[in-house]
Amino acid sequence: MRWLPGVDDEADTPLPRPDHGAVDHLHDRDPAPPPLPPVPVALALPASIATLRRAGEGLRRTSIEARIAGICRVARSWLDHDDELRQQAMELLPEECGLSEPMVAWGLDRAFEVITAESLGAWWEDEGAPTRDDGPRLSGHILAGNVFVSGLPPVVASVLAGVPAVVKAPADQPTFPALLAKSFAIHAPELGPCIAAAGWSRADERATEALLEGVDVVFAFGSDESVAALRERRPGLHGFGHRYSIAVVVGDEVPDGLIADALAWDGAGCLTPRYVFVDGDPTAFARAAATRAPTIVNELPALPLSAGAGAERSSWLAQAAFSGWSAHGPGWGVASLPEARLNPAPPPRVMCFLPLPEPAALHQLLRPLGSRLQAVAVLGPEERRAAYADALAPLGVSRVCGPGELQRPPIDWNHDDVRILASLV
Amino acid sequence: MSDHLHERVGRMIRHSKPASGRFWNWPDAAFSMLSRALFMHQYDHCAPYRHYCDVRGVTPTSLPSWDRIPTVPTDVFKSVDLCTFDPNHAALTFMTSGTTVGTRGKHHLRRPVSYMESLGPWFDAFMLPDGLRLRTLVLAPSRAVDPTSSLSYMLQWAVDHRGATGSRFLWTEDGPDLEQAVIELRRAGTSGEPIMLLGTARALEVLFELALDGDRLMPLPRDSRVMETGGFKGAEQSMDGGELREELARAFAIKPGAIVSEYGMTELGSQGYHPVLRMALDKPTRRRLGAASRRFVFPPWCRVRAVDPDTLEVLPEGEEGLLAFWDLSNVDSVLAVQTADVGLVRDGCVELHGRAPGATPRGCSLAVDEILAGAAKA
Repeated sequence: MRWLPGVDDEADTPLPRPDHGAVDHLHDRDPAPPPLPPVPVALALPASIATLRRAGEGLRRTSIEARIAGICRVARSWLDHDDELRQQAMELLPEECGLSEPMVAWGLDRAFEVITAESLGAWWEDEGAPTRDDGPRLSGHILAGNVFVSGLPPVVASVLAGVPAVVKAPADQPTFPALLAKSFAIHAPELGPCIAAAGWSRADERATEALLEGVDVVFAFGSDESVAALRERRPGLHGFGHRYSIAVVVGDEVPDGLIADALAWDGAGCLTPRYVFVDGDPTAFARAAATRAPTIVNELPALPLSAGAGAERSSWLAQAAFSGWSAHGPGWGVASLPEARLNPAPPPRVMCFLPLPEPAALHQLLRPLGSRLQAVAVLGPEERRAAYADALAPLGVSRVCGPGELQRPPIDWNHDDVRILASLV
Repeated sequence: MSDHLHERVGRMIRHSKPASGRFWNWPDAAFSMLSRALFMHQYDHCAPYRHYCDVRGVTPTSLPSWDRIPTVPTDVFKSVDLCTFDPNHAALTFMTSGTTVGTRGKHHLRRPVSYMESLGPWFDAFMLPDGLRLRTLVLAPSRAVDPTSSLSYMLQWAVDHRGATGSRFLWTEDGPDLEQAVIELRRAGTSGEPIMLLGTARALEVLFELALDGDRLMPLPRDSRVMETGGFKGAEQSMDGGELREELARAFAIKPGAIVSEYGMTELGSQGYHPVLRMALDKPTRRRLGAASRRFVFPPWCRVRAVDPDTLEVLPEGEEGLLAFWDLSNVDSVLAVQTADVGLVRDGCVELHGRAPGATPRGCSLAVDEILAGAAKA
């Protein structure tokens, strides 16, 4: 699946807008000829890039209010469970991304519910103005797999800034960006063709080269290695490497929201709390979490574990049980360790409770992981929150929030030292 | 001390001769009683295991059935001394090969007696069902070369106690001694004296490739046989087990039924064998196992089940899962071992599907272990 304006018939055919009346001349056309095989991405991209550059002039002339209105209509369509494209996404994404249907639905809801006129207006006010005459005219986006909405904010920011976006998805996960592009064409046609999206393998050097050379600014998601490799080819690229998050609990209980944070995206996201540091007996916290997890897992279920993942998980949980405590069930695991240590790292969907060191000691413990700490969920009195936030700031933290909020970042969240919208205007 | 348990296990094994009704399966009550006794001993005397069982909520007094004795994943043998005695007093310590990344797993044996009681009868039943004493050639390291390998220990035993005059290891510091192997196999072909060739799957594959390269097929005399082992561990293999057996049968001009696969691991005292050779010679075995010639048969003192990778619950017969063993020859370590091998169990026999591949990392979460390993190296 792909959406390449200027290349593919479907992307160039005016689409009926459910809310705004069908385009009449569609009905006057002759029956469609049999489809031709798609043009290879590497050959198609330059044409699509040229189309988007031309269309970008119109998009830039559109008022910010109109852009916000268009984006919000698109977001609302994704929140509408009866919307055809959302339904199509729900059919395809679970298998494509290896996530359960409720998890995909949850991910779509969380990603689009933060896109509102208010949030976009505030973002624009904060970073959008003034615009530069020599600002980017076309943006490129290289997405990573599985957490399929992680690259959504820069794409939204791009359209908000009046800059069309060309999106590269992993070859085996092309659906979401293609449907996103299509949803803009359907629900915000007044913005013109503003997103092109296709999936290709990183081995397709020609296609990646066409993207890197054809756009003015690039946002790339992936491992540190793949981002570094891209940055060598494209200096100035905004990279979002792999990150981790933690939780700090100074209190008596584990909020359900924190368990949901750990289960969301099957524990594979950069906002997953990989370690939960608790001020108290870690086993008591782990036991409490184990009593709640079977309920919360119903909201965020996992697909059955593969044999390999099951073997790794059971091995890790057993090793934890030899020194601390562990329990598990379908789709969840909980463990406590008697001392604060980072490796071996817990497998996905396993909450690992560790004793909470003092702020400076926690900083010291995490320092070998470099500046890759994405976010910290902190529960506790304000002064303790502040102490931990200050101590961990040098490790790259871009967000301190409450438990249950980790996996619900606001649309204007700037992370990895990138001011996303500001870099587009 | 566990001497009385070794005695009990040994007695039960000795009462399980092929002619006896207990050869294929022990009465559930007998297995259950002995496994419960071993579990109690291991729970009482192996403190880490006791803690683990407490965490799992299973104690000797609360044990509902033998298959609820908490299994220990093989990886844990790398980080915990799982024994009921001071490991410094071990008579034998077997170590994993370390072919998979990381430290080596250790299996400490206070006395090798139950291991030996287990090893002999089952090897004889499936490698020497005709009672022949054969010149034995081994394409694997001897015990002198690799004193920590349970496989070398077993093969050394086969050479020393079951091999006819002239039995030997064909192995150098650099690996299999292929040239000498070719000479020995040719000599066997010429002399008409049947041999027993034992080796790792990879070494046998290399031997076969060498034979193929030089168009040097090495027909072996009638009654010769081959045992291949370790097919799913260690070095890369280009052939799967079935292909390897077919090619070996061709290269050695022997029946595929003379090529027996063995399944064993450092953490288990018992081994499983494909019953092909025994089936060819023994009608009751044929009747009993039917078409199961390529399933691994384990002795009645070692029960195996497939468990759900997610819940670790025992699966119904015929469903694929991770293989877990309850092996009564593991007297002074832990009798319940969970592997990362995938397969299904029918009538107590294992259809092995291979080693579960490691989980593929997904998403944008940091690979913490890799970063820490890199930081440690720097």
